[in-house]
Amino acid sequence: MNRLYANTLGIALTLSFSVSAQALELEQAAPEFSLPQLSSEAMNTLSQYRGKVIYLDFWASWCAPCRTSFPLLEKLYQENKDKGFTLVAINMDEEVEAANRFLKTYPATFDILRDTKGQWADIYGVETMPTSFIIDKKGVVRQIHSGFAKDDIADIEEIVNKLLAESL
Amino acid sequence: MKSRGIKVSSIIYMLVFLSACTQVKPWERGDLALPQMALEGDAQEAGVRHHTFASKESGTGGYGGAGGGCGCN
Repeated sequence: MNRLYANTLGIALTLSFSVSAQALELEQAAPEFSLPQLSSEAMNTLSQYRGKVIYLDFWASWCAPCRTSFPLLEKLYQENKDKGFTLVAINMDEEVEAANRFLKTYPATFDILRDTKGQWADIYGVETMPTSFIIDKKGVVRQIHSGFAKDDIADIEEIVNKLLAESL
Repeated sequence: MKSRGIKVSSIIYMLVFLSACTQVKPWERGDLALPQMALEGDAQEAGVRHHTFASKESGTGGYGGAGGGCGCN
């Protein structure tokens, strides 16, 4: 009886702490997502951005560092969009209104997609909000950036410029 | 016999409560990020209160987070 008790306790504890996420690693090909746009039902896929340097950002309206990142990312996008750079922000909000309110305060002209169920955030292995993946022209993940602080933009700009300089 | 009953029922409870054990994904923390979910409603007021408490009682900590004896400040 004691053994049964101990075994059950052991199994229960193991199950409660088990983590199933298989995070994406550097130098791996970015998984080919297909997600609807924020403001319409049209689907966007990763392959339609292929050949460009992509900054893929997982964000939500309630995430405080995202308020810091958005104006800086918008600037980065404006400065580099004609040089083969693109920025794709995947919104994780449960309610679309919350995302729209956020975007009124922090306007963005880059593509915003929605992953309400967190299916792609799971596949990409997002562990922090926000997490961004910098993908090179060949579709390989070259940098994973967790969280966001004001000074991070300098490093991001550096790697984006480096990847833009690489040939396809 | 009595202790056996306790063990059996605690196993049953454990299995029932197991379903409540789940990992909250980072993107599911929207509700937890709401201001009404904060342990302290007003961070500034809480800071002042803790300061007053510390100087009156010459003791501090136990409020969670930094300052709770983590040695990091």
